[in-house]
Amino acid sequence: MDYMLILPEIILTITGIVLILLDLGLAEDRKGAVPAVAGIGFLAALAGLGPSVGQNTQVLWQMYSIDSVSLFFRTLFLAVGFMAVLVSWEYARRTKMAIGEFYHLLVFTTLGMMLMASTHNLIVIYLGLELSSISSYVMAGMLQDEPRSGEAALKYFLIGSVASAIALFGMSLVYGLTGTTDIVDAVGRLQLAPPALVVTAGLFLLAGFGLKVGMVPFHMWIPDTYQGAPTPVTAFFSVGPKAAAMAAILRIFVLSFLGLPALGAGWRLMIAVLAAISMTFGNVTALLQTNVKRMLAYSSIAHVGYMLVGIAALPPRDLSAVLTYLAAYAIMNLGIFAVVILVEDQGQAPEIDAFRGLAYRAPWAAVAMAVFFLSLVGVPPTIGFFAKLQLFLAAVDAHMVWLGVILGINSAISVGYYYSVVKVSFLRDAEGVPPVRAAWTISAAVVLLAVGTLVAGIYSDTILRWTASGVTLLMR
Amino acid sequence: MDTRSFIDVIVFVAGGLLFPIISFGIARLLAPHNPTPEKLTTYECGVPVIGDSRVRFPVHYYVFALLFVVFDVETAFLYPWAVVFKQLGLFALVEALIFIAILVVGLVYAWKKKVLRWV
Amino acid sequence: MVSLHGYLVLAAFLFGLGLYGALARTNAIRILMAIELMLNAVNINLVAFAQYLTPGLVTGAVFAVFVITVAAAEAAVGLAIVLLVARQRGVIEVDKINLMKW
Repeated sequence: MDYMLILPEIILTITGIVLILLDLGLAEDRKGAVPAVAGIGFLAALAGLGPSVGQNTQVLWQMYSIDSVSLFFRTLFLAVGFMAVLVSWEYARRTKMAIGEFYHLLVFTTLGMMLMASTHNLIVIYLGLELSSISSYVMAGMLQDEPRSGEAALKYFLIGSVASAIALFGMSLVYGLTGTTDIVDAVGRLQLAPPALVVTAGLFLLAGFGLKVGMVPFHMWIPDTYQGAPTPVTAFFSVGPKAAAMAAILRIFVLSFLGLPALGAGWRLMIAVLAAISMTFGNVTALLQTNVKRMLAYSSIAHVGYMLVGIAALPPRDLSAVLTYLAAYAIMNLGIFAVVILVEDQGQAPEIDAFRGLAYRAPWAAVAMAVFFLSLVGVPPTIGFFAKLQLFLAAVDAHMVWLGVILGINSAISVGYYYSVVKVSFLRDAEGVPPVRAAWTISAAVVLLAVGTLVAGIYSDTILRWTASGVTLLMR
Repeated sequence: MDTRSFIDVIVFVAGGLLFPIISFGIARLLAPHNPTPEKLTTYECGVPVIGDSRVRFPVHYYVFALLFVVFDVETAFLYPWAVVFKQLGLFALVEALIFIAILVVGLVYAWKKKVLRWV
Repeated sequence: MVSLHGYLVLAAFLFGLGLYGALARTNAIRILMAIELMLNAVNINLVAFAQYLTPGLVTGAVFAVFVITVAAAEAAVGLAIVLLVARQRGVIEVDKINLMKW
């Protein structure tokens, strides 16, 4: 039955509507129930993935693909959504955000991301893209009394809408060239279409989705939006919508443009160059930052570059390198943002100085932070090391050794700015900084993610096998 | 490779880029620029302007307009459904009712947030 | 009868105009209007393609209906955000909204 396969989406929709009604019905002092309901909704939706396991089919009139790549992304997004509930719980209470709105927007953004990642149809990709984007514009502006939050929302909205329109123009060209909105059907017809028009359509799509993932040269909104948005929202943005746009790039490009006999090599080279520029730019600029959120924003641009390495190196290898890196990045980046939120919950702005003496104020948080940074750099035995190794091997297999070398050099550069935070946490004393009082939710998130970073690194070959099994299915 | 199609695209891109530049450029070249105080006033059906156009008026106007736009446009989905209502039958009826129910939740939200109360 | 090319040229010009407006203007409302132009260019493309390339199939027209509704939602949220910023800062010129480095 079709509806069993989209159970998670149905559960999320209902959760979102229940949250709206709860927000209206509950008295102001009982609003604490809202995040709990959202968390339960995410867990229930995760459980609802059960019937989709092992399926490889298209449901709802060929509009929705249930394959293992979509299973991977849906699991990822639901887990990210759940972690976002955990890390935002205390923050939302402290900053008096409109929590009713915040949590239902979180749920709907996640729903949009799931739509985007599990379809071959351009219309559904567009609808998912807009559902997640429009909800997330509002989330960026959630702090109504903080001008930076409004500024972040405005910039995110303007750039995001332009990006959508550009991608949409590309979609309309693909439709015009092939007469279909189904990417799988379009593949064969694109090979017969005039190459110049195919290139144009591809460039529009790449620019549009490139803006959404924030690769250079379409990165200019990332630092401001990430710095100005409420930190839990930034944590969510840096992994959720990014991974969703990456999923759309995978579906559209891997299936059609990269596989074109005449033009595939050109696309791969272009993506490889963009990857190299993205990681170098992100890492070098991050070195100059003093605000940890802004620094992590530039770091996220660099990580997009790493992921693009996996896409550029695709044909000889499979998708598993990119997927593994996406999962690893989600765990470690949510983790590091959880630590930032923990520090902010003590009433400090997220400047590097706020981390002074963290090792004495909250040793467990400092150790977790070190683990996340080690993973982001790519040091064994963390998942970050393993995932980056896969990307490196993929680049080598694709005869792009130069790209692998740039990847290695960039990992070395990134040590510089990550270490600056670790240094003040461990080597400076905690004089004049308040002791850490952490809510259980944020502590649980930090510990869970730190353990995840280590355990996933140790059992990495299992993860690789899991992601590798999906690849052939996407290719069909 | 088919070079003709590349020329087509280049012409297209150039046309797309040049069109705004040329039209704004022509406007700047041709338009005489010699403002007098009368010319700089806001055109309001020929009647002399009273006061500043940037008066504050209640934010309710905006919210009403926004709500109207959103709900108005959603009917775009109901027209195609109505046209093929008989072919699609019960299933589409249920789907449309779910769609409308979700819209109603939005309306209830606006209502309970006291947006619909006129002041 | 207008040829398909006519519609495509119109759409390309409209899109170029919108993109120019979105990039060159500083007033947030004007940028919003420019974005709407870009979306409408896409709609022209979609409907023209549907009519000329796949007569009898309404895929393109349905796509256009979705774009129209999404554009309305986007405009509503966008105006709300502009309103928020106007309330916080008193300006909606994006080059003056620079608490953070742009």
